[in-house]
Amino acid sequence: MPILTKSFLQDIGLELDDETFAALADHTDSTLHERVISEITDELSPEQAAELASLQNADDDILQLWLVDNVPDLQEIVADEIDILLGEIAENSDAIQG
Amino acid sequence: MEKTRPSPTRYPEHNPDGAQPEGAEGSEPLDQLPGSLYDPGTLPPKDLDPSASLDQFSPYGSEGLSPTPDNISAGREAADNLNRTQGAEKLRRSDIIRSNIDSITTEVVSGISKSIALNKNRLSIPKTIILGMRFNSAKRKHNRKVTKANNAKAAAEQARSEVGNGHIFNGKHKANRLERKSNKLQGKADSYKQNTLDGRESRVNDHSSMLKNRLNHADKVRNTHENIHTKKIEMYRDRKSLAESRKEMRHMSKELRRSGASKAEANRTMSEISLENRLKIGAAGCRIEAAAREHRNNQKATRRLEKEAAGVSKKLIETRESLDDENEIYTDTAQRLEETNNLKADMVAEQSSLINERDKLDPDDPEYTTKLVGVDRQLEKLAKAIAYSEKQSEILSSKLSDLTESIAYLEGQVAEQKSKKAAANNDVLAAELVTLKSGRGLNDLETDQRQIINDSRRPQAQAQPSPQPIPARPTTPAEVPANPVSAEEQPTLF
Repeated sequence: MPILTKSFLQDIGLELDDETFAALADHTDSTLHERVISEITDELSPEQAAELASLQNADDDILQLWLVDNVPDLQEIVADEIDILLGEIAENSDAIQG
Repeated sequence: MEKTRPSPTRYPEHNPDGAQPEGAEGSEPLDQLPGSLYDPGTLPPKDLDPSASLDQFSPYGSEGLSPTPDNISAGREAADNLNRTQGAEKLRRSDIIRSNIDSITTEVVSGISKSIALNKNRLSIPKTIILGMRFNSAKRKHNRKVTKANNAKAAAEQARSEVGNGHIFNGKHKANRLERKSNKLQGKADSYKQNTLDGRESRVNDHSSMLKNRLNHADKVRNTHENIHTKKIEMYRDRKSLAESRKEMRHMSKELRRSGASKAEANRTMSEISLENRLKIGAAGCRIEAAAREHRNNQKATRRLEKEAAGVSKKLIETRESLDDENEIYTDTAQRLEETNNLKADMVAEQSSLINERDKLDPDDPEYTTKLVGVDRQLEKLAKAIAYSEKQSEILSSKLSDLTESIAYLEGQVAEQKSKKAAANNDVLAAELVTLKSGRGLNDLETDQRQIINDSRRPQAQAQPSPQPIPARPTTPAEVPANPVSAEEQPTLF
């Protein structure tokens, strides 16, 4: 499910055409992706970071298991970043509309 | 979106094969680069067994350089940054993070969308239509009465124009009767207008102005509450503040652990710092909950009173309509009684005239007997008609008396219901004021809680215990800063 939905934009009084909405949605998704990755890598200890670096050729399943074991706050990190991102969009709704 | 790996500009030796990396020709000589990493006097000795991360650093190969604590710390830091960069790159290439985001997004976004409800204003549109229909019906009825009166008047004029001289039973009598009928019908029309039509028109106008007042009042109430979009934006802002607080706490907890404190000590320190704030936020939350409950109860009470007031109004309208109907019937009956009495008076006059005529008959007239019989027959008919009129008159009088009682009762009911309606409207206004106040109180408590949340973030940033310098949080190898990076310097959306 995309982060940015039309109902969210309606909630904050923002009206965008389809093209602008698609561009903003893409930008939001990629920004969220980067922030979550940044938070995860920052949460890791040096040993865990070395371990993650050694998983360059590992499958996604192994990577997922490793994340679950080593980043217990993963869900909280994602939820917080979503809230922060949506809050930023809401605060800057005038700038986006303008 | 594909992201290219940042090109290594500060660590040109990131080539395990040892070949000269591209773009390194003509670059600054390694031993002249800033920092002690490339200081030939500080290279580690041959028998030093560097850590695995140090192996990735070719300056610490087998050159016989001597390590210092600063070199080792900086080397470990650089190696750690490299690992984190490579780890981040791996996470970017995989879909793990996106799938984790997708699984959590639904819950977060759907949770937000249920928070706000809208108020709707109720207007009595059906009542307007009903009153309008009744007014139009009364107007048509009045027009019919006027038309009837005019037709009777036209017929009277027509009959009068055809009148000749002569006996009372000729067209002159008919013309008089038609003229009286026309006058009575016109009187009925005027009376109906006065008793019914004007009243209904007045009620339509009253209702229309009442609706306008309610609309103005509803606008005021709506404007008193904040704009729905502003409320939602504030809600998203609050969620952002809370998320940033949690993020800050995670960072501080991590930094305490890295500084050597045990996890328990770190958690205890975080608990001590945040306990007071959490208690304040929790207490504010309890007050908000209680205020919200009270506000909901006030809203329910207001709606109940509005319903009751609407019921009283409806009853009053119905009673007034019944009163109008009774008045209309009274008017009709009174007019019929008057008509009956007038007819009876005419017949009595005719009777006297016939009696005089009979008295004047000449007994010596050869047709005396015939004429006498004729007059007596007419007198007999008149007597019967007069008796019937008298009976009709009695019935109509009795009906009028009953109607008078009924009208008096209904007028009493109308007065009573009017005062009930006024009291009900006052109750509704008072309840609306209470609801408005509780709504404002709730808004104030929510504002206070937001302030507490904002304040809780500032003391935490100032109160963190840090026995060692806090290491930087780099994002790429090219951006390793000398000073710690704050949360605000990460990639922003706007």
